[in-house]
Amino acid sequence: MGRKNSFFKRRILTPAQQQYYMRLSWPGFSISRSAASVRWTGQLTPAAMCDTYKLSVSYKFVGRPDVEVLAPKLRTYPGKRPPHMFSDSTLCLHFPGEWHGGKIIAHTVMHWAVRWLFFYEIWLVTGEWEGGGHEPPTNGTNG
Amino acid sequence: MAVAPAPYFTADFTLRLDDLLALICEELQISESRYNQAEERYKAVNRYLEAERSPFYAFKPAIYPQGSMRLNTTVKPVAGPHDLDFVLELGVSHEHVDPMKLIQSLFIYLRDSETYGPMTSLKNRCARVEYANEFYMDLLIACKNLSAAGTCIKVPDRQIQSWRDSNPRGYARWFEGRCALYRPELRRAIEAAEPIPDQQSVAEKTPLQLAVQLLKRTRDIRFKSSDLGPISVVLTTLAGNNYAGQQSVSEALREILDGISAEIALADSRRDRLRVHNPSNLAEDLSERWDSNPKSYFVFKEWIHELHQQWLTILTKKGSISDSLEKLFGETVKSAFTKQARHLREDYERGGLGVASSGLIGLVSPTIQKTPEHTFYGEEE
Repeated sequence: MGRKNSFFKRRILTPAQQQYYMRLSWPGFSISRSAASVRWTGQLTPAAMCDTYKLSVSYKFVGRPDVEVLAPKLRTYPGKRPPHMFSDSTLCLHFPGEWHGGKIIAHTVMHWAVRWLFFYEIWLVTGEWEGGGHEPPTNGTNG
Repeated sequence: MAVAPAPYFTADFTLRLDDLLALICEELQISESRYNQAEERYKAVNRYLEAERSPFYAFKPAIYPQGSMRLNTTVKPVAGPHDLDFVLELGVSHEHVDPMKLIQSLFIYLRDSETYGPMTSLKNRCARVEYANEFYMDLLIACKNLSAAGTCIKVPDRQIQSWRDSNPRGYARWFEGRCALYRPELRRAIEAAEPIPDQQSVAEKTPLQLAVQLLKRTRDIRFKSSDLGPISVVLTTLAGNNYAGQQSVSEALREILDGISAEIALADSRRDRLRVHNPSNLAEDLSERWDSNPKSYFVFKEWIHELHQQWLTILTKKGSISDSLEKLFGETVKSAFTKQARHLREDYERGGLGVASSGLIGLVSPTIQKTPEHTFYGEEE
């Protein structure tokens, strides 16, 4: 608890700023706003021979953006669910410290989602995750 | 003047498929170390055959690889070690040489050796030396055929109790010429009947060589160890004849299958079977086994038709084709995808990749922004 106060306060990008970059880099994505949050939805294909995915990126300007695959339904390799996902079906794309509100979603989280989808398709073929990364610690301690 | 970098394999279906197919072939072919080992082995056998006490001593024996090792189209068998073909050519004319005695002398001389004896067996046209867990060396003994042009030889055939015509060097030259079609500057040299550059290393492969490997592999998957499948020299010749210089191996395979299907249709319309002649010796019918085994011809036609349809479907499919590729080429497809994914990851880690606005992964450029580093993680508290 005490640790948190020792970090200096970072500049948090405004909704307008995040939207500016999203529109530039991801013109195919549309935005929907509510009082305290913003949500972008759109389609993308990570590489030739890959499926086209509909993604949703929700951000409440606190914590991290939530990325969810809306379509097609994510598949399982026999006996296994895809790795690097949270229990609420959002994608786990980075360590806690690798993203903060001062970073541009369009240049970070969006890229990482594309990578996730590419390696997810490889995982469907081979059963192995080739994208690197870490599994979280198994017993209650912070990674 | 700056040259635009070649597009990344993620950009285009054909690029990605060709990259996968090349990786599949890499898995299937004889490894460089195994190739070098085979080279050492046959040179050692050559020294034994050149020794003073050898019955071939006076005839300047020279061993050279033929078939898939020479053409650089080796494919690991579905079961067992590689089968590598070699010719032991004697520097003497076949006239006045008894072919049956010749092949017997080779067999006996090898069998009498402490080293080779236990490994040697006699086949229809060759002596086989089995290097356990490494490969089988099939050694054909041959004399020069001085009544025919250039590199023609005669090989004893125990089934017909006589000589058989062959021309492995001529065949290899022909095949190299067909391979070289994919480079226009070489095409001009071929048309002008100039000498073609030297054989490339095991690592470099032309689209035709890759296509031949893939055809052989899918034949092995389809027919396993049964005798019904077309023999490799027939497949290789059909591929070489129907290849038209495509740079892309997936397109080359389409062209080859289009061509073979057309040849079959033409033969059908003449109520004949397809005949595959040796391009370096047109009197030789490489496909004569279809006469003694008509069922194998029927099965061949069926297989080509099916393969042709499957290939056309793969080339026009949207989305994932991994299942279709595995049906054709077996488990090795999984390793190809793995290798491709690892190359991609390495390129990311070098900072060379980003994402375009369509979501397509690609090389960093003015329109493609580099992807910052990150680590996939898991469930949070």
